[in-house]
Amino acid sequence: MNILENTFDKSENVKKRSIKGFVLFYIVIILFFLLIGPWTFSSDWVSSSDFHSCIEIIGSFIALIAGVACLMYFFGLNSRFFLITGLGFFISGSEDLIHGILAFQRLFSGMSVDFSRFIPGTYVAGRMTLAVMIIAAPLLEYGMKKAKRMKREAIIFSSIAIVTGGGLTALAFTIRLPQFIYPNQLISRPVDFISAMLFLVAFPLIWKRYTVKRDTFSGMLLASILFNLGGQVYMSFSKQLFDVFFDLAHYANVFSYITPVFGISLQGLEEMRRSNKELVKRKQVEKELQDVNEQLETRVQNRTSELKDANQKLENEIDEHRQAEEFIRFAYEELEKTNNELKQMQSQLVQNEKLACIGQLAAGVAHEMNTPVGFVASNFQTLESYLKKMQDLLTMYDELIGKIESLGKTELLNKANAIHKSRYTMKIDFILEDIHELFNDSREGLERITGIIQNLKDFSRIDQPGSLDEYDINSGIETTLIMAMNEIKYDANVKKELSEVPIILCNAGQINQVFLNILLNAAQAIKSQERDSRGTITIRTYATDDEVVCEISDDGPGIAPDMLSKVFDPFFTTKPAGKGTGLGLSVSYDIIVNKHNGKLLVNSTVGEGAKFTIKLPISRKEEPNNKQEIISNGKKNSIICG
Amino acid sequence: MEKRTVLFVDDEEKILRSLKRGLTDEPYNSLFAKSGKEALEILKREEVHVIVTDMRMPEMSGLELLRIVKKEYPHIIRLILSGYTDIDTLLAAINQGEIFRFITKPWKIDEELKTTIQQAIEFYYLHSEREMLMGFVEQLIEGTKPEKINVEFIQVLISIRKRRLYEWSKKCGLVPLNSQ
Repeated sequence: MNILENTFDKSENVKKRSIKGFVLFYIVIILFFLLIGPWTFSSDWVSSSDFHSCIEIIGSFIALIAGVACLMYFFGLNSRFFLITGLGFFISGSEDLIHGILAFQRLFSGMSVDFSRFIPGTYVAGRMTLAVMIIAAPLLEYGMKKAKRMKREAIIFSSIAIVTGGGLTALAFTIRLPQFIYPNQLISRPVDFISAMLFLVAFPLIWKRYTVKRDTFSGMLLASILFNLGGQVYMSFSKQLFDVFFDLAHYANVFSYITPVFGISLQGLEEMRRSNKELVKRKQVEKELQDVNEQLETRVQNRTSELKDANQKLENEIDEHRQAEEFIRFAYEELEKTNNELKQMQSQLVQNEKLACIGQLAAGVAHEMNTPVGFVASNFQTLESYLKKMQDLLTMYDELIGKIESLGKTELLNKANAIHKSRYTMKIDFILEDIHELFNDSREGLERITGIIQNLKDFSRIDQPGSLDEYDINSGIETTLIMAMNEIKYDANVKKELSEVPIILCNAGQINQVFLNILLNAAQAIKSQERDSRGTITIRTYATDDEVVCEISDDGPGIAPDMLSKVFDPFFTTKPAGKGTGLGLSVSYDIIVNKHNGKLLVNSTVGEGAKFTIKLPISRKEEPNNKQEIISNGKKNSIICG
Repeated sequence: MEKRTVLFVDDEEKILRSLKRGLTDEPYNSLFAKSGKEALEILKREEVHVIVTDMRMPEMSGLELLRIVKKEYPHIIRLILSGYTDIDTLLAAINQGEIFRFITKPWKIDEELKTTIQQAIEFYYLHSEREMLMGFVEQLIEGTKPEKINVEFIQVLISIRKRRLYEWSKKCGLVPLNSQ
């Protein structure tokens, strides 16, 4: 089956003009026979050798056409089946031609040779050859591979067919078939019956092919076989020449040739239609394919452009991300930088706060210094003029002494009077009196300058961070007060209530800074009130069991409760911009609480003043923030506090 | 020509004493006050033409004093002699006190202090002269005859001017035309 299908590629596609067509065809043929039958029996002319020959010759031509057509098909379709069947038709057609010509009695009437003994033999040979070929064709088609070398095959099979046909003809000639005619028997011509049997064998083979291929040619071939079968059966019943069976057999013979021609023509038509349809279909399919292709291309293009867009988007996004990343990194670096700068600035600010504190003092100190310097310098200049006057007077005395002998008494007296007068005008007596005061004032002024410088020196101990000193809180307050007094004295009196406290070990400069800060704040607070009476700043020191306490209170305006919690915050200030750093108390807090493990407290009632309490521990067992070496000292009373 | 009066105010007595002895030979009266309050009392009693004050003083600062002086004795020429020289103080002194000069401590008597005080007195002269002349001109414009006292004043004024001119030409090395 598979081979068959493979061999005959048109297989399934040949759709099967449905058996309806064939049935219709057979009905027409049967009707034809029904019509022609009575006419045949009643006509003498028909039952003659001339008519018989005409039919045979016509049939043979048709057979030759069928054969040629089949051969063409063989070359066209490359199917061996067509070659063999075609050869079958070709040879049987040729036999029939010979048969028809031999049977044409008029042609040979004048001749002495009697060909009549060849007549039945050639007929049977043609039938048999056809039958054999039709049997061989499907078998060879199934049994052998598809034809490759068609010309060679055509020649080989043609040769075989010609040899077979020729052989059979020769046999027919030789054995003189009429000898085997037994008019008394039912089957009067057994040779014809044998050929009928051969067709009977051929029928199922072709039927099978037909059922597989469902092609028109196979169907028509089946019809042809049936005609042959029927014709040969009739023939085998023929008792004598030109009887009914004989005639019918010959008609059937002609039809058996016509049907394959029909078949092959129809199949050709079908093939053409089919190929045409296929062509159209293919074109359509091609077009569809092209359309699909185009669509695909457009889709691909669209998709590609979409992809490109998406890609572009992605790239953009990636770029954006990268930029954002860079920006973030940049921002981070900036932040880090800013942070570092801030840290640096903070430490600088703390340092600056110290300087600002001193700076604030500096103006006061400058004033304090300038006052004694002022009058000392002024006195010095005055002293110069005093000396000049004295020198002038002395010169006058010298002159008088020089002339004392040469001049007369009256003249001398006049001179002396003049000198005395100048002494009066030059206020010499005042000078002599004043000169002591001048020196006293100047000396005092110089002492004051020296004192201020000494204080500055004491106070400048601030700039020794980390070192620990023996520190008497009371002397620290005194030192700081000398400095701060320049600021305080114009607005407030300082009341000191200092009691004996133990010496502690701490950074004196830092603690002084805290005192100064608080004292200056107090002075400024009082000054800010611009009141008529002077304010009072009270400093109290005392010691508890484990702490040295210093309270600095003022009777200034006080601190509002909502501000109270903020006073130790960095940069918190109530002073106008540029006046205070806002770090003073924050730094103080740091010094007392963090660096010395002490306490810095603030109490205030608005309108009554503020009180700052500094508590420093007398002994500190643990020093989390201050790990400097404690300087041992020889004093018995000193209590180490770190 | 009547003598002019200069009032010095400073909380530091030694400053006042040094000023006193430095300025003994000057041709004007010098008065001294130890505080703003005292200065105001003196101003009530005496006629003062120039006031020289320190800035930082207890109770009443120099600036406050000058403010009062400016308000109550606007004709007095105001000077500051101070060692307190931060910019805010200077600005306040110039803008609020409308001072004539600011002398810093320590000072130089001859080159600085004396000349400055003399300039201030001169300024006072010019000021009062101008005011009197303006008054005179006003009277002329109003058509009222100048009174006798004014005629005398003009004569005095002319004599002063002549003397000034003489002094000036002497300074410049010229022979005075009309020496007195």
